[in-house]
Amino acid sequence: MRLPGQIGKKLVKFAIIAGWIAIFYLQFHRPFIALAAQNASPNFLLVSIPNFLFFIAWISVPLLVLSVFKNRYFCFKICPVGLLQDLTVSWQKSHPGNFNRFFFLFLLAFSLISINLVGLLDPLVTINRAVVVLIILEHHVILFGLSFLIILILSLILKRFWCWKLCPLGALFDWITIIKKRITRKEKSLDTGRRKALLSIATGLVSGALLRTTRVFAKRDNRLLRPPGSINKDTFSERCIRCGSCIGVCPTGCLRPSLTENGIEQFLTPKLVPRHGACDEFCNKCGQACPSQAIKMLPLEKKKLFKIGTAKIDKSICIGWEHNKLCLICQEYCPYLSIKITNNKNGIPCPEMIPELCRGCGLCEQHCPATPIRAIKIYNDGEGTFIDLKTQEKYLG
Amino acid sequence: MGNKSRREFLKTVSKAALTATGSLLIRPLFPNIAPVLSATPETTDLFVVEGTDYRALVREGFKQMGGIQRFVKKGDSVVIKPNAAWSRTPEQAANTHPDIVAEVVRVCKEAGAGKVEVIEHPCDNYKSSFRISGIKEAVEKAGSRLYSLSETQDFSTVNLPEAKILKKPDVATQILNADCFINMPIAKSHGSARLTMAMKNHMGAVKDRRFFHTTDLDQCIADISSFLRPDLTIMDHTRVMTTRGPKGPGNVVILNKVVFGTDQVAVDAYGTSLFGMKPDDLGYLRAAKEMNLGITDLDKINIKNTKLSQ
Repeated sequence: MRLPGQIGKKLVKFAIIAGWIAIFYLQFHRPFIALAAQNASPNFLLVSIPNFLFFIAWISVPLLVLSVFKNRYFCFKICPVGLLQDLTVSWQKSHPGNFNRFFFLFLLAFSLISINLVGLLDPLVTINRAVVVLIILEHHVILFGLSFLIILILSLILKRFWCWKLCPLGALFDWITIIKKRITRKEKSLDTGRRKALLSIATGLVSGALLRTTRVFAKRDNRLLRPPGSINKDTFSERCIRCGSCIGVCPTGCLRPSLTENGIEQFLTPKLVPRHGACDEFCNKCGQACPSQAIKMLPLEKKKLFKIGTAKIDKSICIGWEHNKLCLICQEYCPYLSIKITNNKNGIPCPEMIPELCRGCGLCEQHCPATPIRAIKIYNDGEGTFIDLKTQEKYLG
Repeated sequence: MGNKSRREFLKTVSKAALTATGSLLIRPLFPNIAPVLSATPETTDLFVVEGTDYRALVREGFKQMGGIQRFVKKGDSVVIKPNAAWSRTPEQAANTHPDIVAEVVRVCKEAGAGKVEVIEHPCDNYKSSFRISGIKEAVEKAGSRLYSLSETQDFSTVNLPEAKILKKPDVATQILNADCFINMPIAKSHGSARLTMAMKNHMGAVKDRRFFHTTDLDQCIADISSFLRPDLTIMDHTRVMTTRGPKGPGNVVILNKVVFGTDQVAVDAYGTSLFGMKPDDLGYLRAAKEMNLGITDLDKINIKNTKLSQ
């Protein structure tokens, strides 16, 4: 029996979307980069190609090559965000214009001064964020689904509004087509809009510069902790594409998207909140999941030496130091033996930090019974460094 | 809908309301009352079995105790509480050895137990501590299941009128419903309690551990032990973490011993001697002595050593 054409097409689209969601869903159970890089041929992939290049080589280059020959084939037949918009009803049809190409340049100009907006608006990243919401289903990730919802709502008004007017990936394909036509000289009187292009780049640069001035107002929070393996804290928000994969894979729920509390530039970047959970000693999944390698993929032995931050004890509210109780929960939980026992003046055993050994995993802060403010807290001192094995030997023997 | 049905509706509602309020009023009259403490006997027997085949140690221990039939009848439900709190390997001696736990499960099953459940409220993330300790795998191979109380949250509030501080703890419901409760601690050093053995292991069967630490740890351990009185305590002494407990990694000494006893206080009192301490060195044993929960005097404990030859 032959299906009526319309329904058949919809079914195919639905299947492709389901496939994408399955791929993104699966990465949270077994990060696919890690699968390829660790299980297939570790030596070749880890030594000869840096990880982020590996990702680019497998996903981005084929797409670009495809667009040279087939322009927007990806958008119509493969892109999950595009196909999902096809499945919804729309009030009016949208017509392709050239706004998106200049909007793309505008966004790209931001990255010249280290503000990553192209990644934030990428359709595949958007759908990845939506899958994270599906996986975690908790209120703290709801914002991850927001951009996706806006796209769908816009599509209710104008069919594929996002694809034609805003999508940076679609715009990149459009630029490739235009350049190709330019080179092959099929159309001689082709208006690439050089002035408009320069103007959008300039606007982007100015807006980016303005956005960067907000750094002055953003408070320098020494409680902003990054996932283990994160690159330098100043460049983290430049590399991070806000896909939420690290938050999706985190088994303890300690990673949360940050909002504007650390400045608008940190919007949706992951941060470790020890109150909600602590970094598991035997887990390096966030580094394996990160597609842009803002969180480096560290082998477990190296990740165990990575310093997220350092814990500090506030002795004035500590159950042991101040209230003379046998607590020492922080010492019990510490997986790295970085808390030693010292008697206070009343002879009660109390915790004392060895900051050189502390990785800042946050188990102590998570379980500290002092209320309402924890007596032990993690600060981002020493962030990004590795524990020296000699120092460790000195303390632990 | 006429007047009549409205009246009937109001009647039903008021009846339901009365019943609800009534049951609320009646409830405090029948709290879960702690079992009446029987007078502590003059002496108690402890059986210490030594050997390198851990599964054989368990079999031998039960034989010495007079057989599993003494504790488990046909169709009984058994709850086993090992120490599986930390994501540490068996060699690091932070958790009860998986072979010993699994063998006890097998022995109970062979005795015809209807249901054998292994429970733990782990400190570390339950997935990693159950996996790394090896207990989950071993217990499942033996035909039982390891329940994480942090996941099931299956606790019931009990009233302990005799307790000094811990008056209303939330205790694992599975223990309350069981016919036979076996406590399977591991003896190791501990930061705040100095040593953790049988009585301290009950902290993995209660919901709120923070209460213990923020009030009086030693007294709370004694209080919970006045209610949770296992039919049998099997203490793992095969590998002993002597420093940097309870999580470690610390210094591990191989002793290859398993201690069997029915008096958990006596098991703890004996355990101190293996660390070169006296029972009075531990705060919770002093509190247990005061509450008369068991025998702490080493002279009154009959220790029967057995060494299994290979």
